[in-house]
Amino acid sequence: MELALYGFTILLFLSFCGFPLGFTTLFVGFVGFAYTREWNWEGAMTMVGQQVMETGANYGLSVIPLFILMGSFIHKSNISEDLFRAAYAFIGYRKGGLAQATVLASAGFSAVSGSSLATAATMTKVAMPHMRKYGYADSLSAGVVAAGGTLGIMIPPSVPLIIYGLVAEEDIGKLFIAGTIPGILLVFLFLGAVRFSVWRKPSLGRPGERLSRPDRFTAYAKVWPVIVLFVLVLGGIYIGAFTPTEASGIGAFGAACFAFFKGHVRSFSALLDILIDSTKTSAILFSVIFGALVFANFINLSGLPYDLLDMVEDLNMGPLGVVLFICAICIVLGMVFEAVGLLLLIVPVFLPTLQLMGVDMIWFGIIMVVVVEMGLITPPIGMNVFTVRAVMPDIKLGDIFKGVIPFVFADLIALVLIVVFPVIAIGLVGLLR
Amino acid sequence: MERIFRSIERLLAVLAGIALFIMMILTFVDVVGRYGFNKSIFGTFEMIEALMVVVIFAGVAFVTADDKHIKVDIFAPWIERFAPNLQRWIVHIFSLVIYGGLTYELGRHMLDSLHSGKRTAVLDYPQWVMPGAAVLFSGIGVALFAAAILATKGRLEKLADPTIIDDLGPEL
Repeated sequence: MELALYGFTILLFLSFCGFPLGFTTLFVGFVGFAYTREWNWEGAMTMVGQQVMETGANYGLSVIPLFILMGSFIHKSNISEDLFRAAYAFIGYRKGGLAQATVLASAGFSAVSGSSLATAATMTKVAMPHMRKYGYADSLSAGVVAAGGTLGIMIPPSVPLIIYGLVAEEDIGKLFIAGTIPGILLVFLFLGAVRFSVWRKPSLGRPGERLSRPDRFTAYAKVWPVIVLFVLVLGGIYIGAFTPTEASGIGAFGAACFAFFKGHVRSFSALLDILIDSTKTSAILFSVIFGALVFANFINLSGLPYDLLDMVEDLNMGPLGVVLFICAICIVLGMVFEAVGLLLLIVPVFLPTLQLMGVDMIWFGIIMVVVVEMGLITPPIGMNVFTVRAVMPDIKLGDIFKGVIPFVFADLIALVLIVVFPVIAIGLVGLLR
Repeated sequence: MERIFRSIERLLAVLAGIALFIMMILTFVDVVGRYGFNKSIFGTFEMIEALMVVVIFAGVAFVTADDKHIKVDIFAPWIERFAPNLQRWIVHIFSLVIYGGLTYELGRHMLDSLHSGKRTAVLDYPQWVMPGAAVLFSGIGVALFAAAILATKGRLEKLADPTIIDDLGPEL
């Protein structure tokens, strides 16, 4: 076990010193693997080459670039305006209604995007001006867009869930289905967090104007493409009509058609920009995936899973104790690591032990995603908070961090509920089985 | 120098982007063909695997040259204060060695496939083509990265192409 812990410590140290996460995990995994095989560099080199080639040319993993592409098309198609307008029509007239509308619009955007930062950036541009117009406090409005963005990685299609599925060798379709109810739960908890903030201090968010019935229905009617895409992608997976890979291709094509008909992607250069942007994101992700898989090989060889299992049995922690222990580590590391980096760092280390203990890995995946979500909005490095700040530079960082506090508590409540009632995460999957 | 760098980088990005577009169309048409006309496209699986190689390895090449990998760098500003430039050089040289080593190993993998003479199961093309493409893109990536480090004296952000890097794009 010491060997794996040394490896993990070196990995953390190098990462904190600014070494690229992908190359660092690959390096530590490679050296560790060679060491465990009595300095067999040749074997370690072969393992790295095979792992990278198999991963980079894997049909099943085409789901990652294709879902990222779907998100890019949606990001560029300005659907966010329509979503916000529909959510505003539904709930905007209540106290804190614009902030609640932002939560609903973020959820809608997440359902077809799968990207947390894109959701936060887009909703900042769309919702912030409206909330400022109605005199909303910057802390509440910036907090709600930063937190709303985190819904992007829970509500399917979610790239972090795909990556978890890849590392844990779990069915991506089942993970998507499992993410649906926790995603809805989070939406309700975020709505509750807004309500609580406004109840405590009514001056934070005044009600907006109530739209007439025809205006409301006009607003609702404009979001049909989002509903169609979501139902097509998730419904297709749920009923077994397509594999997640096929669903990603269909989703990306549908989003492309939608962006074209809305008039936002009608030139070759606009299309190329979207394609290049998606390729860039995919490549960044894959370089971390390569490293994580090499690192996972080292962890497996180091004997850590069995040592951890012995330790857990000695301490009488039980599976739940181990899961809570991992959550605590992730909450701390989530303050400095971004979502995918954290998932790829932690999952390979604990996965074999959890499997040996018989933990449901779909349930654990959903728990990991909730924890990772928290990391996106907690100081000192909350990527969504920085994104909101980048789009609205006149808001103080401290105000945004203050504004996200109720949502961090909402995330914590969701975490506790999912831990205590696993059926929230695996209930729908059980029906699927 | 900068123009050549940008042109090659752009070429890689465009190639990867087009491969992604073809991948999307292929997957869509395959599913529609299967449900609508009861006929799939022959060899979709292998075609998508080959396109993945272009998307990922050409993508990693231009992302590395632009120094856009995920980093945490909590200690970096502190190290920078005590030894200006040292951290940046060490990180770049480390990345170059790892990326170069990986490319070398992919090259060996390609040679193994070449010597085995094996062909793919469905489309019947030589198996060395995929690792060959990975080596080609990675080799270009290593050369671009090394040139960028030397040309900018380690300050790669000077070369970043604003048309390629959109920081509010579809990250995670």
